[in-house]
Amino acid sequence: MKHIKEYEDKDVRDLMGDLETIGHEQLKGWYIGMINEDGYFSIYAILAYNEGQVEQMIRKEWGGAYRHLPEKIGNAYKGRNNLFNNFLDALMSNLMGADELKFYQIHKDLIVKNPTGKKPMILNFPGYNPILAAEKLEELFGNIKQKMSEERDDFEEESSETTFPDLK
Amino acid sequence: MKHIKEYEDRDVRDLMGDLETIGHEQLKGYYIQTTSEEGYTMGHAIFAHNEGELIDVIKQMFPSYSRFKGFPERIGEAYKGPNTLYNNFLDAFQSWISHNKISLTTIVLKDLTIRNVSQVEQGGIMFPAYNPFLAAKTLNKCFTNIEEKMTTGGFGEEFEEETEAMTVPHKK
Repeated sequence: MKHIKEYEDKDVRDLMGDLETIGHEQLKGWYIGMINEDGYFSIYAILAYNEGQVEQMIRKEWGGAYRHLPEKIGNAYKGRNNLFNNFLDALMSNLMGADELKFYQIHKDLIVKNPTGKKPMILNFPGYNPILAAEKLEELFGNIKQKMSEERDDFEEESSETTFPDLK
Repeated sequence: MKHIKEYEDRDVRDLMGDLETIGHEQLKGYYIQTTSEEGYTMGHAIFAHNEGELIDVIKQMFPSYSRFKGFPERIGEAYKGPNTLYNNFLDAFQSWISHNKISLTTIVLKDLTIRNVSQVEQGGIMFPAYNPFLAAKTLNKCFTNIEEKMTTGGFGEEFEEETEAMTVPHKK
């Protein structure tokens, strides 16, 4: 007779963590939303096993960033005016400092949906259509909606509702 | 005994049209998304009964815009845009803010159906559009047909065309 064993989410996460320590890395997700100097809003969804691979892919494939790639100094990365402990923050600082970007936002620790059979990749798509962008992001990442909904307070603060009952 | 009568959508639309001709105007929905010079992208859901009211709401939602030179003016039955005349205000407005780089990128949608219209007053809601999830949620709260509008009529094709995947072989 077979027994069904139940595991808590935490147990599964611990097991995944243990597997990572012995070299079996999980594919993870990164989100970069950016508005460039022309006001074009684009999204980069990155699937990679680790931050080193994200750096490797961007250095190799991301043409627009090549003039602003941060230099590695020991374990740190040299941004425009500062040292950063990770590549992405240093790169974004360089792009903002060079006025290539007007706005950016990064989300890390995203859970890749159906990771089996997926390869490390950078997917670039427009962010200006919120309906299609949200749909695409939900296809890719299991926890992106929850992560981005945590910004609700900022969103509410920057929102306003106005009625003009006297207009008619 | 009461009878249930069924009406086709077309009948209801005709009835609404008839009511408009005798002065009972429906509140209509519009969406304008702009990106400022500083890179701040904002959504504006607008509710107005007619074009005159739409212009007033826009003037109040974008108070600085109407002070800029060239804000579309009515000339006879038309509106003056940057280089040409338009037969409606919104087209002239979109052309004017794009031409003068008042907004770096602009999306304008008309004919949006307002959700729970009887509880909505003329005016608008302004919200940041850089968070796709919260922006989509707000739009869905305002309009029943926004998903259809933003996924058809070229939007879907444009999105696919501008999507690019770069896959790299896995080196561990």
